[in-house]
Amino acid sequence: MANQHFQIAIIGAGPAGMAAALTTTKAGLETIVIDDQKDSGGQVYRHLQANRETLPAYLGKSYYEGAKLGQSFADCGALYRPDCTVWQITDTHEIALVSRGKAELITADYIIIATGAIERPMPVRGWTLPGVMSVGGAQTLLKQAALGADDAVFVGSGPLLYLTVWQYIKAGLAVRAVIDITGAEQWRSAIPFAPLALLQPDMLAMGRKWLRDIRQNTEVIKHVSAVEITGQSQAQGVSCTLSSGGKIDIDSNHIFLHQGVVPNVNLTMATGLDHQWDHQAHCWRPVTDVTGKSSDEQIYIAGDGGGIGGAKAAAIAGRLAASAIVARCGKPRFLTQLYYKLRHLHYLSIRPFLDRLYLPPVHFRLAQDDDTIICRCEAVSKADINAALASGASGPNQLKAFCRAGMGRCQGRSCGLVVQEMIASHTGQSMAETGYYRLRPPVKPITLAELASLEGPWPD
Amino acid sequence: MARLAGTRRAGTAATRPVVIIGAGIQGCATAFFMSQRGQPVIVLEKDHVGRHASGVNAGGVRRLGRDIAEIPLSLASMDWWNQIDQLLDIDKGFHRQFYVKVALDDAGADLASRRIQQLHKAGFQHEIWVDRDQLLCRIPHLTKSVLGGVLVEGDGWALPWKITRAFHDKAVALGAEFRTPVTVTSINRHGEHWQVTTDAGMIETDIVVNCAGAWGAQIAKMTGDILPIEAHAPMLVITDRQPMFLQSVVGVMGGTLSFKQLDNGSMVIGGGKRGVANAARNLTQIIPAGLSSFVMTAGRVFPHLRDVSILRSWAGIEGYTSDDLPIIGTGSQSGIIHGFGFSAHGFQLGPAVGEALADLAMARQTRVNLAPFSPRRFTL
Amino acid sequence: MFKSTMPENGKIVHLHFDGEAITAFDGDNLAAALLRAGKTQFRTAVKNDPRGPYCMMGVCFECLVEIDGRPNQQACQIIVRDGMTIHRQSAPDSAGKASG
Repeated sequence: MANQHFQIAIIGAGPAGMAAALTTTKAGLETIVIDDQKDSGGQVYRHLQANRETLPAYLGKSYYEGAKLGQSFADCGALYRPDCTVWQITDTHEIALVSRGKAELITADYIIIATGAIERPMPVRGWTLPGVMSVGGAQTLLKQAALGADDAVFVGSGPLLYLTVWQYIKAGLAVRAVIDITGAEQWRSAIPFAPLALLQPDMLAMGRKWLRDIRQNTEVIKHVSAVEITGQSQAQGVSCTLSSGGKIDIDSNHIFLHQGVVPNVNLTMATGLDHQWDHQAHCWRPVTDVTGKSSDEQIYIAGDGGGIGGAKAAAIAGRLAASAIVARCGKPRFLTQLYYKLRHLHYLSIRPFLDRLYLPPVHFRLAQDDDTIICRCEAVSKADINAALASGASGPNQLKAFCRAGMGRCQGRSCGLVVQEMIASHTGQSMAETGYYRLRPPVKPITLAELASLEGPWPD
Repeated sequence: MARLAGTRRAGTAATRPVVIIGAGIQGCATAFFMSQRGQPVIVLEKDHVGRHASGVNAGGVRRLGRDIAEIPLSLASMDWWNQIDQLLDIDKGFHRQFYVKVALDDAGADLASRRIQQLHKAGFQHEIWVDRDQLLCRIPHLTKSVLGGVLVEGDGWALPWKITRAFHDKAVALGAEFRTPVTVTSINRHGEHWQVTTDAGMIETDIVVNCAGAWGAQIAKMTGDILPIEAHAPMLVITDRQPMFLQSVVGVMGGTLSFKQLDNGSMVIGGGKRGVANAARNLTQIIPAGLSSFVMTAGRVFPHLRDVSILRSWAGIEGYTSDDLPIIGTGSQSGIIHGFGFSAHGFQLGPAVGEALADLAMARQTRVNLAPFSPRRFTL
Repeated sequence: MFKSTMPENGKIVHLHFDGEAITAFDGDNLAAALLRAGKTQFRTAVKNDPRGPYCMMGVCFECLVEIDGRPNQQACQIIVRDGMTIHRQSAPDSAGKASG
């Protein structure tokens, strides 16, 4: 079977990917958009097209602002391949994907990777129990299935948490409590950057509104030094230790955790692109130039996958990268690129403030109890990792061989940053020096039969 | 360049530490045997112990399928494997069962028959033919269309990183010194001795043992020996856990498949299909089509595994000689010993090679005749 | 318990989860349907850990179930189909920690 070839392949149909497709198709470039979900929108605009029929108001104005983009994308003429998972990009720009049990290889002159963000892991004792989900997971249930839990406890910090609690309240759900881990230390480091944040007064106003509605509708617990989730076969409650020394125990079968979002670097790292440790945001991001071009001349990164900026920044970044590619295909776009770059910078102006305000305290970035599971896939605990470090493991890749952390299905998405920080803390090296797991394809698991399907049907 | 502290020793050459370059299994096994005999060694490794081929290969411990010239060395090595736990103070180091290369078609069966004849003629009895019924009895999940196979009892598998690390640990316990990450930049004759210059200082020694794997030719060149090898990267995959169904290791007659199931149920599948190696940058690239091809072969052998997930693929950097036989022996100048170029089948040979290199370094007779592996075969 | 925040309407589809009959709506996300039916544990992981859906976006691999005989399906990535037979899955006996 001959490989299909495109001028542009866009991986991810969230705001960045969709916006990029609008620019490339308008310029007449053959565009394919590959996304692993069944509908466009990524995470932030999940299920948006369907929700426009029923219009749940509690999802909020900024969610519905994505409708126009989604509609334009549907009409733009790109070849849209939903329900397709990319598992490798080779250095000759072949994209290996699998869809409905069958693998394919596609080639492209240019690739835009717009695979977005994932939540920063929040390892607390009991976090693997059924009934515990990430706040993003709770919000997805709300968007996709109009499902919410009564008497849930939200733990953590960050805009996604406050937005989701606000949406819960607007949907008429009773929120049992919000345990907010933001502390004075976070405020102190963020305040000097507040003036920049004032460039986006609407964002600040929205945040203030969420916080006010939350305060008026549920118990907010602050000044917490530790949190653990209790229960045997499922979550029964949360026990938090206050900085003052007291304890508060709350019964609940639904605990939602969140402490920020970070770029999802699994595809970009497995592709061998250069990455840097982002000290301000405390995460990895691909190295890119001002247009999003990576260390590979033909591969661009757009959206949260290149650095957290939110939906509006993502859409502009998609436009920017696409314009740079369009220019390289012979249709110069200097003024347009400049315009997009300035708008991109504008949308990012609030980040120095937000990144610092919502950087989780180190005792929440790291687990506090020895029996806390760090690598969920392989059930490797904090104690296990410390034992491996004591045996001489000096980096994340060596550690894998000692204790299996990072060798499971999720390829480090749920443990990588925690393991890295545990190692850095043990060795005294910086986060950048410590490095990260060496990621390899397949970026998501594929079956033997799926892989073999590049050759032919599975033997009987 | 300043000399590393402690490298100048008073006394004879015998007390000057031997320098071993490379901490893969060959280097670590050599360090182990020499330390066991009381000879001080310094092992220089540019990355970390077991970083390359020795840490990430398929882990086959086999006499099966070897070039005839390699068989005596392989048999000698198996003696060490059969006592590896006591040798290195580890548990379950060697998963000993059997290794079989199955014949999936007439061509494979034909190859098998000729192979066994060839071995018997040369006086080796370890490879035997087992027919379809016997094979299906021993490995029930094999494809029913198998015709039989060539089998060696007592072959098996090990975890490459664990074993390489164990040789290192035991060598250290016996007095060996490992310096990582240290990169050798030049090796120069200095009077009666050798000066090994690195990015962390210079060491003076009488004997240099080159176990630098895919970088062995570079090191050899520094000693005045031109011994060409090419770096390639055979690909492997590991799957998620499945209920245990296989204790032996399975390959294919006329192919390069290797298939085993680890104690935790994961399967390691290698196919000899090459990815892209960049030895200078420690990088390897996986090629989807090649990966697909050997996974398909695995499917022909074990069709019941269709829905098993591949969690990860990788490829180690291996050094291949033009005749696929390793280079083991003394260099053209006195005090230089080479042990590299194992062409993706050096893991099982490691213990015997370590012993042999230790013998050469200590001017003893080796147990096995190393003539087939002589570096001289590449020089005129 | 999870409950609906919008009026429930839509065609009913029938599923089986570990032998128990469950109803869902046409077009439902499978993980969501199971949560709505009160099922929070979808599987047992290594070391007999009970696990259920966590991220709902396909990156945590916790929501693995066996569907119509096929294992390791991420329930949060699947749309229900009338007649679907779903089973909780257990990890095969594991050796525990380090691979060596």
